[in-house]
Amino acid sequence: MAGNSLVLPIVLWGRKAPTHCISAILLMDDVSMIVTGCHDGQISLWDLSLNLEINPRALLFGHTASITCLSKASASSEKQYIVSASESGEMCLWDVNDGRCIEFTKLACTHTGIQFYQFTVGTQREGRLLCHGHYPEILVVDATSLEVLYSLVSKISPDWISSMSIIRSHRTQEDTVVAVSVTGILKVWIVTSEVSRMQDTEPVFEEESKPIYCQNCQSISFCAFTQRSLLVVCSKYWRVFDAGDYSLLCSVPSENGQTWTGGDFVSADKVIIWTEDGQSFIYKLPASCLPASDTFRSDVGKAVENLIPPLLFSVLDRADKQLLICPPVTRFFYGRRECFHKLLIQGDSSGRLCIWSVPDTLELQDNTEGLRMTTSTSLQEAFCKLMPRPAGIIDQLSLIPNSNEPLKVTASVYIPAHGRLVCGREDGSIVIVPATQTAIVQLLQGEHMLRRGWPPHRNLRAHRNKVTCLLYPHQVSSRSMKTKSLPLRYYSLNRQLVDGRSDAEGEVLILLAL
Amino acid sequence: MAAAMASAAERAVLEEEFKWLLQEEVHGVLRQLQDILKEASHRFALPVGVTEGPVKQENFMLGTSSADQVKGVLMLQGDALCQADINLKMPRNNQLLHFTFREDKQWKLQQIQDARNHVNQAIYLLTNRDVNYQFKTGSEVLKLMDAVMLQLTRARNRLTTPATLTLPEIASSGLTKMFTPALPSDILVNFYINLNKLCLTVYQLHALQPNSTKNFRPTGGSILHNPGAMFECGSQRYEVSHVHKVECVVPWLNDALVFFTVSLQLCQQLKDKISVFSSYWNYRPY
Repeated sequence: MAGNSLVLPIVLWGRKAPTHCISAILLMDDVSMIVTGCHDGQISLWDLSLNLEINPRALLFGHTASITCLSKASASSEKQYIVSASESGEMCLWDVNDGRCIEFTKLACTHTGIQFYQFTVGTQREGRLLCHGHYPEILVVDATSLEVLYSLVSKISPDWISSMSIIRSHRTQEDTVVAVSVTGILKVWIVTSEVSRMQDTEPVFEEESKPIYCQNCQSISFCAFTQRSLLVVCSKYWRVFDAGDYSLLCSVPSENGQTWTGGDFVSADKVIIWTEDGQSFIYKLPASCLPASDTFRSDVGKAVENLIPPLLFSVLDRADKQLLICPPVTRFFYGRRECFHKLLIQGDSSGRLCIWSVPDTLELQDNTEGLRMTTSTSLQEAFCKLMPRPAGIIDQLSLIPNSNEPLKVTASVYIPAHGRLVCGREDGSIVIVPATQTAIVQLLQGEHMLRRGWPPHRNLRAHRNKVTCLLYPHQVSSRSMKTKSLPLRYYSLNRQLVDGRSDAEGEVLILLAL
Repeated sequence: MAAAMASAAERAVLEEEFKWLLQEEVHGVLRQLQDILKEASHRFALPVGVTEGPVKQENFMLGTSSADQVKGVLMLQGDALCQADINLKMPRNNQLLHFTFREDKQWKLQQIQDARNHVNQAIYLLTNRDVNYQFKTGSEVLKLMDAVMLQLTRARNRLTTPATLTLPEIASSGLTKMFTPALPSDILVNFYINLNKLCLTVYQLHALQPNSTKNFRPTGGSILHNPGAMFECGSQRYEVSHVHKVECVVPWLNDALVFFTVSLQLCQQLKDKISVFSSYWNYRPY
């Protein structure tokens, strides 16, 4: 954008909410906003009220491929920045207060996980983003400029990293990065503030490389409560390790052919693990996994089958089992507001967010009901609650008698040179309207509201089925139509098809000459 | 088959057909895909996780014709070159130079590891969708096929698109320090995979004098640099005088690429079959 003019886009969504097949979730530190990324590359911002009411506020456009991960990119007390990464290697830095994209970069490789890491150098607070993905190292990226500073590499069996966790040490200057590679090897790097301050691009090698034989690792979490255990969730089992020497403390297989997709510590002795179907299970760890107990580490060295199993405490399930086209995304967050919230948030392919508030004191569930969902909403639900209903661009020309819903637009093309919007509809008709005047009808009040059928438009009828494609060749290539002034004409590629004798009628292409 | 004329009875038949597609045909195709991809994954011959068996080693002879000035015997073990034996005939004085990898030194071919990991990701996506899993909608199948095709396309691209490197990057890649006797400072070596071939490139450089009248223009990144390319490394400027490239087909890479193509075709065909029905579901009588 040149000069001082600011262009504010306004969207006429229409009654149907945009599809939002959620692929990533993030809860902001102050528990006031949820950020979701979807498979089409859009990012949605949802406001969260004090009593956990969800209200979608904005949709951010910018990525061209599905969002693979989201992370905060600034310390919570400062500006609210987040970073998003997509399948095509794009990384964007966003200010979620106003939805601005602050920084953009594109790398050759896809990130599958990003974590924010902050450290203090003197009085300066510096932020870094630790990224891992389809490459054999952990990239350390500057959180403001999105520049790759250096990387954490492996000498032994270097391979892609499946999951990573940053362990902050309260006692020493050294923080630890623990990661699991795709071949099931645990890797440990020490990151100090001196290392972080380095300006040159020397790689940092691992401190330790230990095979833990965990296939298809989905997540690794460090227990912030005990500061002593690591939870590793793989697709067919989840395990707890001693964070001191990485020895195995307990292991739980998945049942009924389910697949675990992640998990986290809920308290010092309880973990929550979720599956691909969207169900979550809270387990109470046995005493052999708890540092505070006398029998801590009593099972170390035993075979996996002989370890004491955890106790199933509670099951969290979705209320409505709506048909999903891909597995939902679930994440557990600790809030940091007045009421210390522990929230399990799940987003699915229908654009729905579900929140379970996990209470601090969990009772062992006798009944089969499990912990009930606290709140849930979807984009379409939010749209339906709005009064008046969100308007579409040619709603006033699309009224169907005896129906609440307007006639659907199924194809469109905008012709800036003539300021015209051409819409093909599901009944086969094509409407040509002057674009700005039709937008005015929806956005502004005025004389036009008294006029029926305003703005002046053309209605073309030739097709019998919905219009699937519109093309204005002159816009694509100015040499495609030799004559400059032609009366409004339309052409169909194959005249036969207009008769309706062929079943492929809906795919006829109409060319317009203006 | 005129959609415009489909009566209630015809639509009932269509629904039955679609149910058959989701319950029977899809699983048949997924089973086939899994089998093919598991074969492809085995080709990469890398031990994964618990089954740490000895990885087979294969020797490849590069530059077998008598006209080649570079000849190499490379030993490939999984995704790394564990031994390299290179003979280089210098054009100026016909001197024969011989280099080998220093003991215990390996050069990792990241392209192979990435391709293998992408194949394994594709297999993982299919693992939980066996006969016991019920697909409820066509969109679910389409989404699964899109995800699998993305991984397979990536796997294929990793093999067909080697990294574009600048000459300073090749010079500082660490490969130059892996040989014994040490490579002379006017020789650069690079290995990469191109499609189904293992390629070895040797660049002979000549140092440009500081007072040279030649117009110095550093060349950008490329898979293969040509004679005449110039670059600066440290305080010295160089120009490429000769480029030698020899290659050898790796049979299992060839197999893997064929498997990728077949799998992608299977996925696309299944997607097309599902898509045929979607036009019927959106039909509304006019």
